[in-house]
Amino acid sequence: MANASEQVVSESEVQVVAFKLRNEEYGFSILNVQEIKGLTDITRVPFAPEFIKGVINLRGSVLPVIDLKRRLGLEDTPYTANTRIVIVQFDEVSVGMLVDAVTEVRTIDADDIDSTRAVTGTDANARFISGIGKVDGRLIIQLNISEIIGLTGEE
Amino acid sequence: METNQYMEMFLDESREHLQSLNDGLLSLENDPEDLSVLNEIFRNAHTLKGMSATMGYTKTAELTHDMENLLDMLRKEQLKVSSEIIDVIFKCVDSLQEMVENIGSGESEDLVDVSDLVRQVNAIAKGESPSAAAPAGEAAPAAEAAPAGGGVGVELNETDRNVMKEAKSSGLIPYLIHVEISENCLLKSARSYMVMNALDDISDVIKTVPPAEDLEQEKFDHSFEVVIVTDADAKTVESTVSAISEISKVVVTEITDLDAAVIGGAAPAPAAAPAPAEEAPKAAAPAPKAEPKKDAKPAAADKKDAKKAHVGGQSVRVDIEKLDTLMNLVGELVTNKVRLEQIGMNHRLTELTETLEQMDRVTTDLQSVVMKVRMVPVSQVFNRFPRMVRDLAKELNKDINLTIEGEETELDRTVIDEIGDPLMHLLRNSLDHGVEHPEDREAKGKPRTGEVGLIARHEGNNVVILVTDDGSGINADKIRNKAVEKGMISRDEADALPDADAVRLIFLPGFSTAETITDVSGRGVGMDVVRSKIESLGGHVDVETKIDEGSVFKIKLPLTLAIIQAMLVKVQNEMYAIPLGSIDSTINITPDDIKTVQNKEVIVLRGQIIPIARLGEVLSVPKGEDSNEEDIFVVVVHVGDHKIGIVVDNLIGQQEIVIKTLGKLLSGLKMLAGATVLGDGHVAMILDVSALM
Repeated sequence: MANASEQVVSESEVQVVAFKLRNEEYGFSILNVQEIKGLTDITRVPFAPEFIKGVINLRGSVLPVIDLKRRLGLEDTPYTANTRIVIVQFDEVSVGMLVDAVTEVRTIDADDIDSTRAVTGTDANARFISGIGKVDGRLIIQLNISEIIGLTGEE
Repeated sequence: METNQYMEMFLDESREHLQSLNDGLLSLENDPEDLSVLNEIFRNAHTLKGMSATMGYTKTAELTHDMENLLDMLRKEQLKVSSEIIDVIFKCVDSLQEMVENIGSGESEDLVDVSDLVRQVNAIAKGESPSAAAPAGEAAPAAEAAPAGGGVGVELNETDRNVMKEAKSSGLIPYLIHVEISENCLLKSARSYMVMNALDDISDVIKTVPPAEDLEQEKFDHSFEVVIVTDADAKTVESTVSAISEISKVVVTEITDLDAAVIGGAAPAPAAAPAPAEEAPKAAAPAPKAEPKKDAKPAAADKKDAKKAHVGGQSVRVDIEKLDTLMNLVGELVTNKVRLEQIGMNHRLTELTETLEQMDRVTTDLQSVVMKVRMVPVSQVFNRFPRMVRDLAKELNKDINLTIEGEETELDRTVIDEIGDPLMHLLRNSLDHGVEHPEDREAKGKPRTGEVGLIARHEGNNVVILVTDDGSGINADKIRNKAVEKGMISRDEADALPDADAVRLIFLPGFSTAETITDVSGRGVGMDVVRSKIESLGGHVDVETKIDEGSVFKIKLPLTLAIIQAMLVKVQNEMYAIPLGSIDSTINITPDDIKTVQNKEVIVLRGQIIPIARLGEVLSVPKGEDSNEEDIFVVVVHVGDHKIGIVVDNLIGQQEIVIKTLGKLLSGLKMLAGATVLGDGHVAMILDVSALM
């Protein structure tokens, strides 16, 4: 894994899996994305944190699914044919992320990624965002997976 | 990454070698003359040294090296195996174990301080070998320097005198022994220990001045007194003690006045009293020594056979996670097969259905094989107990014989990992509170050596583990009083309880019967912890006891944790699984059957009032369309002695389910014991009914 990643990403650019939440575009580093899955049945988990939509069956393993819109404080939208579950892996924990649509895999020049402070200021959700990439006039908001999963213990 | 690979191997193999070292030392202790065991131990130590040196763990390697030197001297018979030496080697093994575990958890091996141990090992290696040859020469001059016939008087209490009188009437002779250790001795406690040990072999020690603990902690000058009863003559006793190096003077006096409160002391000790019973003992003395040896030999032979059998079967080390993955994949295969069956039925494809039937058999076999792979023999846990029992018995000054049976019985790996602590706790309890001190046992007419058993066997779909002892048993009245005193139950309730149930009160939280808190057990966390641990494994623990005959703790465990029988229930559109083990019964009632007591809903079942919980409300299941209100299904579950009725919308049926964890992110959620993937691929939560109480 570690060797492969060095080949994919040189120091000056990053590859991201871009996806939509409402009308905004977000992205995860491709190194964390394990696979993309169509919408399947999500089983509600009683007493789970509010942002966890439930669990799914991924080839026999039970995986939690995070409702990204709820996690980022965005308004809910109904499922569509484009709704996807992006399975990400971080620190040996696999988690599904519920997104409205997956758009593409993009390579973004490191110089085109701005730090977030200028945009988000003191916004409580600032910790979820690691940077904002500019591609062809579009903005792709880079998400900080470890904060979103929230294993640091504040939830 | 590559070092990690070796690391795993290093840790696994180190643990294995340490375990064999422990086993080997134990059998060496039983039979000090068995050189083949010694060779085995030596090889283990040698391999361990090589491995740790290769991995760059110098400190581990150094300690192993010193230990190996000592073992080598034993092997070449330059040193004689003594209990003291074995103790030191045991300590080395303990430290090594600690070091290896530290390495395993990513810490430094340096955390364990071994300097003291290294010094001890080297002292034995150096100090003993030259002196062993000429103890007499060294002893003579020292004896002159020591004050002649000195020593303090020994006070004897009523019991001591009675024991001596009894012994005398059965042909044994009581002696007072005055032992002096040479002034330049560095390890006085070790010497005194060796003396006591040697005396233990040929006699029964009644009393020492100062007491044994002080001797161990070197709280004495250069001399101490021992009162023994033995069938050996004074000369044998004297030569046994003076054979130990650095002992400068030994005076053995027969105690004639058995009614004297104080013996020895000011009265000049007559030099080695003439042996009055010379004719009898000579033959008798070696006899008891020979006997244990005969016992030990077959035991050692058994061990060797077992080891050979172990080597015979070829095995592969597999990461448990890989097995879990395999298990998941098999589960997925089954799920897909169910879908195919559905297709075959929908489209009436007989050919497909027939093929699938074939496949069904294969997948079922596959599943059971994978399950079997996860099973490991309980010997993996039992292995560490002989050593623990030995150490503990020494610490408590008790004679204990541990019998282990059925160590080949297999249990799921996950259960094995969890069962160690509760078993350890039960064993400690048996040793500390169950088995009496040798003197008390004798007074009760039992053999001095207490029997403790650890027995595993299959019983239906369960594995039963018994922890038995032939100790004092549990006094039901004591338990009743304690429970009342602690306000757990009322006096009337306590008196109404039959003995068997009263004894079970020990499993309640906050109950600890030890009158004095000892280092070993009785720290307040007691049997309730054992019980909750075992119940969390889906098991059950019970106790049977008889005053002065002993106690039996019976642990019943499911064969595996990965697959359980469960009842599937439905609430609105959500499906939940309730482990069958905790289900009492399922009943069908009407709304009229639900009564309220202090605003809490209850039902009356066979004369018993049972509180009920509506699962939909407890789990805040989103309300769908109004369900059928006329028919109410209640699943009555029990946790310990408590019962509760769970109200659900529908009963789906009983099914074998594979338990999956919810993962790190969702760990510790109340009421949920995990999740399972149903035949149709849906995920259902497994309820932890104990959280409903």
